[in-house]
Amino acid sequence: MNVKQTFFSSIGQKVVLATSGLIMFLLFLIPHMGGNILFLFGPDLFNSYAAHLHQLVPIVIGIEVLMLVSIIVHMEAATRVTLANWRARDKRHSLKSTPERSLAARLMPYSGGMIFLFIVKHLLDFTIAAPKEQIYLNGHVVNDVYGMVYAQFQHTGEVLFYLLFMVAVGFHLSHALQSTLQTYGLYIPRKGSKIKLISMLVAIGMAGTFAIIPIRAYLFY
Amino acid sequence: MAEKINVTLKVWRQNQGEEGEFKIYQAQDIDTEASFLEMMDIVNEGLTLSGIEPIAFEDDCREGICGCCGAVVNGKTHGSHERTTLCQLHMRKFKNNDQIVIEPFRAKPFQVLKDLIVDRSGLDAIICEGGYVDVKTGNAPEAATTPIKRALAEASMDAAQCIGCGACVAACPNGSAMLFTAAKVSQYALLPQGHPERAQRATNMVNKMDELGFGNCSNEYECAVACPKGIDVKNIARLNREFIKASLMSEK
Amino acid sequence: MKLDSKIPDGPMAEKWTNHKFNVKLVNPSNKRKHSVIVVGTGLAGASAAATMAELGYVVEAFTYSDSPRRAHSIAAQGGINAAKNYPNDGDSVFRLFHDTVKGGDFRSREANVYRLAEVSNQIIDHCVAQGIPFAREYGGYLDNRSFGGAQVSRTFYARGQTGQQLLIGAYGALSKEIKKGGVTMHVRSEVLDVVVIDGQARGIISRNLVTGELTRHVADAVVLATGGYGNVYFLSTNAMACNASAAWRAYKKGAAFANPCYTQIHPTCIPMHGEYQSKLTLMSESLRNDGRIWVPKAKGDNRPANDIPEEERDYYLERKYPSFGNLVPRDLASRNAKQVCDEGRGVGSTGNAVYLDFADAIKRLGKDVIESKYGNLFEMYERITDEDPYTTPMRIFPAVHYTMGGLWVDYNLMTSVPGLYALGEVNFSDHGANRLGASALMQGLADGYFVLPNTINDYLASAEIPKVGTDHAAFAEAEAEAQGKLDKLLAVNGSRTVDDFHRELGQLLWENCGMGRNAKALKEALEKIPQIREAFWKDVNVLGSAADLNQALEKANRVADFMEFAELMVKDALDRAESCGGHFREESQTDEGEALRNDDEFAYVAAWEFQGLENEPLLHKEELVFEEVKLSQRSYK
Repeated sequence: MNVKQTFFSSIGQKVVLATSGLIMFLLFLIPHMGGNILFLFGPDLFNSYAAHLHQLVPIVIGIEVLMLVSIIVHMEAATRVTLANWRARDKRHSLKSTPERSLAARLMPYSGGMIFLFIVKHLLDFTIAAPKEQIYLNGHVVNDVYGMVYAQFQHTGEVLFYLLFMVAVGFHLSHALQSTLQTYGLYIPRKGSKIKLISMLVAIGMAGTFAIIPIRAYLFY
Repeated sequence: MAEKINVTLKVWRQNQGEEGEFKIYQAQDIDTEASFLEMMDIVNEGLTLSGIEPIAFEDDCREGICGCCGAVVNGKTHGSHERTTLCQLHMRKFKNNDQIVIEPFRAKPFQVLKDLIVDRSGLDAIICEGGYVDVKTGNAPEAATTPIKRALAEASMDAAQCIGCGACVAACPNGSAMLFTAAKVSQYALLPQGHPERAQRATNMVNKMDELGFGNCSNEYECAVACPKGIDVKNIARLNREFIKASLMSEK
Repeated sequence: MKLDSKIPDGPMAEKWTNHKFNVKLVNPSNKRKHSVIVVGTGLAGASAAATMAELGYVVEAFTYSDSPRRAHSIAAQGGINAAKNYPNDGDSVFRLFHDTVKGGDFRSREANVYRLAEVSNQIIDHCVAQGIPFAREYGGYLDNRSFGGAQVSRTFYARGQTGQQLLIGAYGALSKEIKKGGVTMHVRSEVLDVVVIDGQARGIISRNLVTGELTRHVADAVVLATGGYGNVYFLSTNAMACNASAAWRAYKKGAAFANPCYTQIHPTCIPMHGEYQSKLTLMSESLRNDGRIWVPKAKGDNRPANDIPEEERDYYLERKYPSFGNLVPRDLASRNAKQVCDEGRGVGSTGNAVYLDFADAIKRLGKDVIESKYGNLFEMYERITDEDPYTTPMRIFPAVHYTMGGLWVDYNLMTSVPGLYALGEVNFSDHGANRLGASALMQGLADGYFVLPNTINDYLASAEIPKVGTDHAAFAEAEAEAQGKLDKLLAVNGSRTVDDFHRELGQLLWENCGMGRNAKALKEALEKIPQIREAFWKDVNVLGSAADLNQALEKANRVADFMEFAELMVKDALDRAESCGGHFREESQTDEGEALRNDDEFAYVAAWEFQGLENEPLLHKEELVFEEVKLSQRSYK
């Protein structure tokens, strides 16, 4: 295997991009979404989930490290790909019709950048900052993560900010999922592709699910 | 039926080594049966007689097969008629008093030589890296020695139809030559004759494409819409497979 | 000048094998000491350049296009013939040879044609090995179709794009050698002159079409593969840039020009639609397999085709040639179309078209079958005319397509200038007075892959080729002359465009030296051509500079040569007072109006030698001897 070619050629860096993205999607985004769904079932379940996560620290740290690596690799490759693309288009057509290009595809670098900002803020909000309250749950003292999340989403600005980023996540995923598969060499036709449709539905579903917490916390306090 | 129309052309004019600009010209009494390039001929005759150098544009066969012609017309490579080269676009696609914006194919590796003529030699350079089967004249066995499944021969032919016009590069938001490269890699990947070199072909052609400053494929399929020969993006998927396989295998 | 065709001795079937044994070889390690210039990168040029580089020669190749892949070989639709006899229908090398000689109306050289038929099979082998996706049967074996009225199925094809696929194959081979360093490729480089030193072709003067710079290139031999001269008619199926300049310069430097009056008018082209028309588009001959050709019986009947009842239609080919019907050879189909149009029975807005009707075939076979056979052609027709050929008959008219005449070459493909070779359409050798369908691709590749690489060694190994540099006086002289001509064109600053003159010349030739020719019209053309040429040099308008990308200047320079060449073509047509193949002299026809050959007086190749523009060219006759194929009158009744 030729390392330079595998990771730095145009197809190679797209494979890197696709793979790091896929790791984040499978190992982080999907479990995270599963956890979030528990929020709907009240504070006990959610706090217990949070507490169990803490007991699984070695695994969690392992995944966190993997996430960190993936994020760095993903961003590095994305920056390289994007800059190369901009360079290849030094002069643009004054009129340009792009019938096939989706908004999601066009916005990839921007939605990606927004997601990065979001992740930083999200970590500051919920991971770095320790929960203020502790409560008893089944005879143990645990952090009141549920309450903390609830409190966070009492500010309209915060909610709107989170929702905006959920939209970015949705856009990013809707192109990313199908594009990943095409990069791996799976044929996704231009018209009438089920994979494109599924990719879009998964993206909308995930963004919607993530949006439930802020909406619910804001509306049903 | 034939009628006469007047159109206004907004054409990119650029001399070698200079910055270009759009110029406005009138095309009067154009027969709608005329082809787009015949309209350009008429305009050029008029310009010549009024002492203005004619608009330089490339063309040759005017049958849609040589791949010489091409410009972005009203934002579309080769104009608005799907699966048609510029030379096969006809004036009946336009209305009286339309404004037509004509500009060269743009991408970093396609530098403008003059007006609408760009340098597409990068595409030839990619082919030089392996867009062929390395067989010497005289090497060949009897043609019927190797039967080839008809479906594969047809799929190979689908890819082999590429005319090398460069519309895919111009239409790509990233100035990528992936569809062009993929078509050639696919043609040979689908046939047994191409198999001995398939790994190095995919690798070398992609590396050349990168080296020349073509962009990356972001799977947006603008190329396939622009392609006058209807070459499909499945070839890009195939190129990805060929390349990934070649990268993972240690033996070339 | 003495023409020596160098036809090898021995039986026809052994000539080529014997010849390859008898010619001198260049030792492998000496090959890299020999350099060859190849002008043109179509089928013949690209294949020759690639193959010679494989052998070890140092090759420089030139094309005026931006890439070798643009050459007009790419536009050939139908296919390529070979004597493989895969369909088991009685084909053989001898039959292909026989058909080609007969199809050429007995005006080609037997030995060359036999060799062409002989190497045809190797071409298919090589092209398959190159990865050319020929059409295949479900069992995976190569498909063949019958073409151009041949009685066997010997045509290999890749959809309607055979020329494209073969050219891309040759271009691939060329690219491979460019990569390996065997070929130095010069794109956007137009050859302005051939340099002859002490009677040997030693190089060329080339113009860089981007910068306008003239450069000198020296070599041990020069190969011209620059195509035909059909564009002398202005309107033809040739690509816009096709020209006769390199061949014409070679002629002026001493190469004999053979049979310039042999031009092929292809019967199925999309008719002209207006004065501004820039070129004509061919529709594959295969359409005549299912389409029926007709015109209204009455003159001036301008009802829409579908409103003309069956009994008021004249299916004139079926009527006149009951056994071949719509499948008569190209020259007959073309002449008959002209005839009915001249009678005032032509259709369409110009009256210069006949119908090619698929209604019966669609009724008999169904639209799907017709679509699968001709879909891409129908689509092309629809693009250009905006009419749906599934519901209204196509309108077609003949157009200039191919030129059988060209530089005279011997059996080695060498012109009468030692060291100067001519390959493909630019030579005269294989098609006689009429080319059969699917034979042009075969000839181009035969010449380039298999013939020249086995004959050029004879010259390189045996000729005395002294070392010269580009500083030789002959180079300086040729360059100055080329530059002088460009400057002169720019200095005229007249009131008419290049196309305007070209159109005038073309119209004259089409009227007076087109499908039907007679002494009176030809003499008239001979008077008018010098007048047009004179007017051109007095009144042409070419703007811009010679030191820039200047398309008008390129065109003017080519048209200036056509202005001279046209005269030779007409002269040859006047001189050949017989009808043969594509050359129809109205004075020489049978009682039924068919072409009548005169073998007693005209069974020769007319090779013209340049004597200066103001003097009559000198005619040399290479007598044609037919040993294997009996001279006979063609009949398609």
